[in-house]
Amino acid sequence: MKPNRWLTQVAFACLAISPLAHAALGGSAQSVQADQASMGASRTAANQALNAVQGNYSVQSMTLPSGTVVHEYLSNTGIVFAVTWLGSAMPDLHQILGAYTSGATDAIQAYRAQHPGIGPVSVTANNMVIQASGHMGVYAGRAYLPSALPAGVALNEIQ
Amino acid sequence: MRNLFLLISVALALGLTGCGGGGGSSTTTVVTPPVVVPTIANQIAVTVNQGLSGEPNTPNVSVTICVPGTTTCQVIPNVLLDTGSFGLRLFASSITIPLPTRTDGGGTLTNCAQFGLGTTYGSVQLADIKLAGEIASNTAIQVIADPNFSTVPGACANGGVQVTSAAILRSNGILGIGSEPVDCPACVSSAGQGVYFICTSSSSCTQTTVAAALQVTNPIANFPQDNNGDLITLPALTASGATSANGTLTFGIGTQTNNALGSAAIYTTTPFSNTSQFYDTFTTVFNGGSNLAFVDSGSNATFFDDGSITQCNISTGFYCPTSTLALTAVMQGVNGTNSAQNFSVANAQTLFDNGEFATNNIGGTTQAGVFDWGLPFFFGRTIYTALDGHSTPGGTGPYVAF
Repeated sequence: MKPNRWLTQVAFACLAISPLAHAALGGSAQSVQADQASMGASRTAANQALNAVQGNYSVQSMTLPSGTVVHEYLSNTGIVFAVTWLGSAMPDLHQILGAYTSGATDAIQAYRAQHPGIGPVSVTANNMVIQASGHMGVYAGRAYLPSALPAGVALNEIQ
Repeated sequence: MRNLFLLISVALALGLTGCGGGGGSSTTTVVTPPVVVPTIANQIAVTVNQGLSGEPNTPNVSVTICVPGTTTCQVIPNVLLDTGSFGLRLFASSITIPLPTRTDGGGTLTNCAQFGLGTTYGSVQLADIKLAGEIASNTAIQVIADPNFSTVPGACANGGVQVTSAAILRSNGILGIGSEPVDCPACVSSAGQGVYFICTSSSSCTQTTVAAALQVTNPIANFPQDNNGDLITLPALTASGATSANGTLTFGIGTQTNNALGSAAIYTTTPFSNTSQFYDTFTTVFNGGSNLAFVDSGSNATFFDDGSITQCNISTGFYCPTSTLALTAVMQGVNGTNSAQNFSVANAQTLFDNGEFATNNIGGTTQAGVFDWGLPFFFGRTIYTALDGHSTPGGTGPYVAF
């Protein structure tokens, strides 16, 4: 599906002015389009088929040029409260985490200082949880905002 | 090679003598000498101890690298043994011999690897990798934090936090011996994986596709023999753990007398040719939920999602139940092989505080939908890992077996 050109341009303009405010996590519905444009993602029929409303949120699915599939969880009140990824390449975490990037970086480094190695990571930073697992070439992960979860959403729905 | 031929010739000659004896006088006693089987030393030591990391369940090995085709070699100890990645990665600062870089299309090839939100970046260089008697000749490795390529491209930097020194990783490198022969099968046809770059200067690098033959390569795949997989054997532990545990890494599956499959059950995993999204994985059912699952010596705990288990206050991300939990999950190979596996989750903080560097009951949390059978699962077992597309007496890889 071809992205809306006007929307794409607006998204790029906004990103140029304030990239953090318009990145996905914690962002609005428009930030989903901004992410899609920034990461060059496509939304195929298969992606669209996943966009069904699940009660009080919808899953916005997109496929990155690498083949990795990203799901953005959009509440009915218009907030992206979670993002997940699965595929052969890591997504652009700066784009996905936006304003949460630096906090996540600090938390990951603090975790690794305590537990060095190469296994999965699960850390909390600035009221955001980021978890990453998988093996080389199969990267699975999610980031979510516990305080922004719509009522009744269980954490194991975010995958 | 000449010695090998000589041994076979001698063995054949002796065998023929034996046969001839059978047809002669009944009083002749034929003493058959033991069959001489030419073997290549195919086993190295694995030590799970304090190592450089001070982190429990870090399996360490020593790796010898040489300038290709020469006897200029260097032994690098405390390299993390990882069935969850593919290829050898070493820090530039710990390499003292002059290795050639790999060039492709007019520039130097650089490589980016992701490990649990950590990212290693550096040039691709060539070495003869020696492990016991096995030699992976002229094999591409990643040289992390190469000062000649210190500017990390955005497509690599945006995937995680940079790991730039052995002091940060607290290992001298990573020996990836998982099921893929090369580190980025998707890169053969896709430049956008954030894994390979062609650099015309230290800061001018663009993403590129790379033929499998030029990629950072699982050294096992480059051995002339014993090249279809490996097995890791670690001793059984008591629930209280141990300060260290000694085991072995053996190369080849069903190629020598010490690497037969025996009665091991084979759990096939999804080959890369079927999917670029979740290859080398199988299924594990836990608490009624189906999970993407894999067996990974580079993960130091059993990582799974169970919101009902108390997490540790200090060691966040690990489980700290007040009393040890006895749990069960069902492993399901793609081939239908399935079995219920019991595992324990003890108080991780207690084990950390007690200085137990080898434990079979550390658990940790991870995102819903993923089940990571880390090093605790290896203790008391021999676990086979077969390479994707390589044939073994138990069928074609990829699979894990135990």
